[in-house]
Amino acid sequence: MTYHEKRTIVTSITGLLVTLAYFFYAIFKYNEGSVESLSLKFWASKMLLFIGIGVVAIIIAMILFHIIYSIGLAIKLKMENKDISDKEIEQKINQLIKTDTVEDEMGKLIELKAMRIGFICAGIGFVLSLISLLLNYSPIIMINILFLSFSLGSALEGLVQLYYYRKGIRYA
Amino acid sequence: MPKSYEITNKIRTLRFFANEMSQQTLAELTGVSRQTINAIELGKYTPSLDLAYKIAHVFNVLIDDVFEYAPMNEPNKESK
Repeated sequence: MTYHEKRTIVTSITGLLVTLAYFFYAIFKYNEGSVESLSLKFWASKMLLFIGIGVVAIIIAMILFHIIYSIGLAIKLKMENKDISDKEIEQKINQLIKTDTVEDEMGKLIELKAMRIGFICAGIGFVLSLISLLLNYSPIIMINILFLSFSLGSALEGLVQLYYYRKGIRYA
Repeated sequence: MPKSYEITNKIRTLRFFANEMSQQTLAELTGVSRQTINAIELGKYTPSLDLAYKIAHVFNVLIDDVFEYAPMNEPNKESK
């Protein structure tokens, strides 16, 4: 599995976990039926909070991923060549990370294709949220459908990226 | 029905004749990731004309010596 695939898995799983956490929190709060949960302001503040949590979680996950990835490479290099010095390992790791993290044409193309799928998911969510309003559901339901569709769209984007990295893109 | 074509490449062979050049070295010389070189070699990705020329320049050959536009091998329909 390559660097890009591993990175996509880490960000997708982190995003999905935060989305799931929000989903269960929203269901719990909605069923609780407290007075504060009936205002749009409450939901807006909670959504902003979860967006913040998501950003911080992804930053932490990426830092941890890079540390673990570097350690993994160092162990692999040491196992392949036992006489290698620590300085040589460091140089090789830096070189490997430099070539693996390059954002090239294939990466950009995959990103664009995945982004299109993510936007389609968010678009469907927007239409569903409008339909929910037409069916006389509360605006709280509408705003939650919107938020979840954007979050799921983002997670789906990661999965689509992974699919294209595995399958490849021919005759793009 | 129009005939189907596919783009094949000889990067693996060219790397072998260039002192067994690694995918990483080729990636560094062409400015792309190792994964992209691997995908091109396996036929999973069709590179842009720009990248195709860069690869040809690294091996000091013509683009036709690296890539080939050949008819696709279609599965035998009679065997069904």
